[in-house]
Amino acid sequence: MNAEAVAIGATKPAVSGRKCPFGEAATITLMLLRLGKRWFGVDVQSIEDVALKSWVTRVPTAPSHILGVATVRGRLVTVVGLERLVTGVGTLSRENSATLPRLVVMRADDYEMAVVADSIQGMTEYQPVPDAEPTQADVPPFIRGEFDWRGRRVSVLDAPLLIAAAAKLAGVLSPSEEVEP
Amino acid sequence: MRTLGLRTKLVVTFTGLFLAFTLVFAWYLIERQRTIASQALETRAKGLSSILAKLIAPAVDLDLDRSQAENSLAAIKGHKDLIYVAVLKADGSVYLRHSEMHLSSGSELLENSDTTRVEQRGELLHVLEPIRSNGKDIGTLAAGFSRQSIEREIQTSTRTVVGFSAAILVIGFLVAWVFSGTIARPMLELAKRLTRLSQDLAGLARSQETSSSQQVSTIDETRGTMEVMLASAQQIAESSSVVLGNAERSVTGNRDVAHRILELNNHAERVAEILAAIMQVADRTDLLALNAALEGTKAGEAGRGFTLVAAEMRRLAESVMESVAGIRRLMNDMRLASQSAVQAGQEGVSLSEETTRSARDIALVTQQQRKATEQVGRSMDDMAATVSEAMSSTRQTAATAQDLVHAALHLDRLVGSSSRVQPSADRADHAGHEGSASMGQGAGESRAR
Repeated sequence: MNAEAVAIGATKPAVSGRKCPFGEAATITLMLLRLGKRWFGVDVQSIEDVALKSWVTRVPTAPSHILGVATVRGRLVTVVGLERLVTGVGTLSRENSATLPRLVVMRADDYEMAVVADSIQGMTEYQPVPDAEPTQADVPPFIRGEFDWRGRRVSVLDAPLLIAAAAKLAGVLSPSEEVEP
Repeated sequence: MRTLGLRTKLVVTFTGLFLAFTLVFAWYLIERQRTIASQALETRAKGLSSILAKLIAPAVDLDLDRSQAENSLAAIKGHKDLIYVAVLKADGSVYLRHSEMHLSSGSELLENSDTTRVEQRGELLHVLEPIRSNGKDIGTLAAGFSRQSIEREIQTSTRTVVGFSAAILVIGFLVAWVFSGTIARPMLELAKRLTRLSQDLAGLARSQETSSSQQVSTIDETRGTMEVMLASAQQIAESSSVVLGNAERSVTGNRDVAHRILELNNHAERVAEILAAIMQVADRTDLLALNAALEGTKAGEAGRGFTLVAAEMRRLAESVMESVAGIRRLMNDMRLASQSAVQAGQEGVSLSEETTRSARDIALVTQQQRKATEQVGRSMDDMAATVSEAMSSTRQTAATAQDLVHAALHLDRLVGSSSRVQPSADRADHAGHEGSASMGQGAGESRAR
């Protein structure tokens, strides 16, 4: 993501999706991240931090969409497998990336959760469509819309719903805790 | 000219000897028989004359009647050899005369003799025997004896001797025929065999001469080929020396190249490490810029410039990472290429070492080949000398064989008949001429060589 992405965000890409929860005609800034060959957009206001993907420790008896836990700047953060939540399968088809994998830490209230991104393209402006009907019935509720960006289909993630869905599925209701070094 | 054979000569010789012996033997026997018969007739004539003289002596002394005197001679009348008897008195008158046949005048010997005298006249043997009475010559008894009886005996003996001699001659002829056959037949066979052998020997000598000439020619060709091979071996040795030097330099160069490539590979590894560090720094820079852009965006309008700077920094970091990725690809390609170059260099070193070994082997083999070729050349010289000596010996053998052919032909002519010898002689002469011509040609070729 760069100035070009910012400029592109200003063009207000075509959006199709359900009813906008962010209010009437509010323009939001999305961070574009790629996972395999799928592209997602996350509101930058929900993103706490972007860190280098470190070692992820598997957690016994954790559900399949929980990859494990990792320490990000001294905090123990749950790492969610976004592809399993979105598609129900373990992995998405891979694509080469110039950078190392990233951990995108999202926050909703006191809850933190990290998703793994192969690469982060940048940020773009997004104009949600008010009162738009969902185009597909099987789309998860944390994807609140989709739009085209440079010929790619970008799914807009609702970070609080994503965190809530992951926490609900995992039965985790407590927020992330500080890890003593 | 017709030439008699050995057997004929032997037969003629032995028969001649037998004939001469027989003739001498016959002549001797006949003459001996004649002498004995003549002596016997003379003895008999003397004895008979003496008896008659003693018988007639009284009649003459007493001058008796002739009839009485003839009675005294009656005892001897009818003697087969007595031809005439005459008694002469001392005065020379014929006292008594008796003849068995009519004799011509002068055929009788009417003379007085005081001793017994025997005289051969014509076909008669005349005996004059003095007639004595009381120690006094009173007359002479003349008697003539015929030689017909002894001539008949001599003729009979002569026929016997001639027949016996003829038998001996025939026997001698047969013996000579058989004996000459016994001698001449093996000699004839030996002469024929010697002729064939000498002809074969001449042919063999001629063939050997031809073979020797061919051997000399072949040796010359082989010597020429050996010289060419020697020159080629020397050229190969020189070329192999050059190849050996080039191969050794190639080995050194390939080893140097392999060493340099290894150094280059080490440098590339070092560059890769540096690139990894750059990549890591760029990645961290990208991450920092991303977080800065995130914070700037969160800050709203106040952080917009900060967001732009962060985005620019991120773009630079991504550009660095893309460049590093490109350099990595290039380095990877370079590493693969260097690995291939190292492998090719090692193969080149192996090939060069193998080429060096092959060149050394070639040089060694060429040197051995050159020595072997020189040895073969010396052997060719020795062989040529040996063949020349063999040719000289062959020429001598051919000359000896030719002399032997002539000797055999001469012996064959001597032993065999001329009608059988002549074709062999022609063949021998022909073979001898061919042998001489071939030998002359071979000698000429040898001299030319």
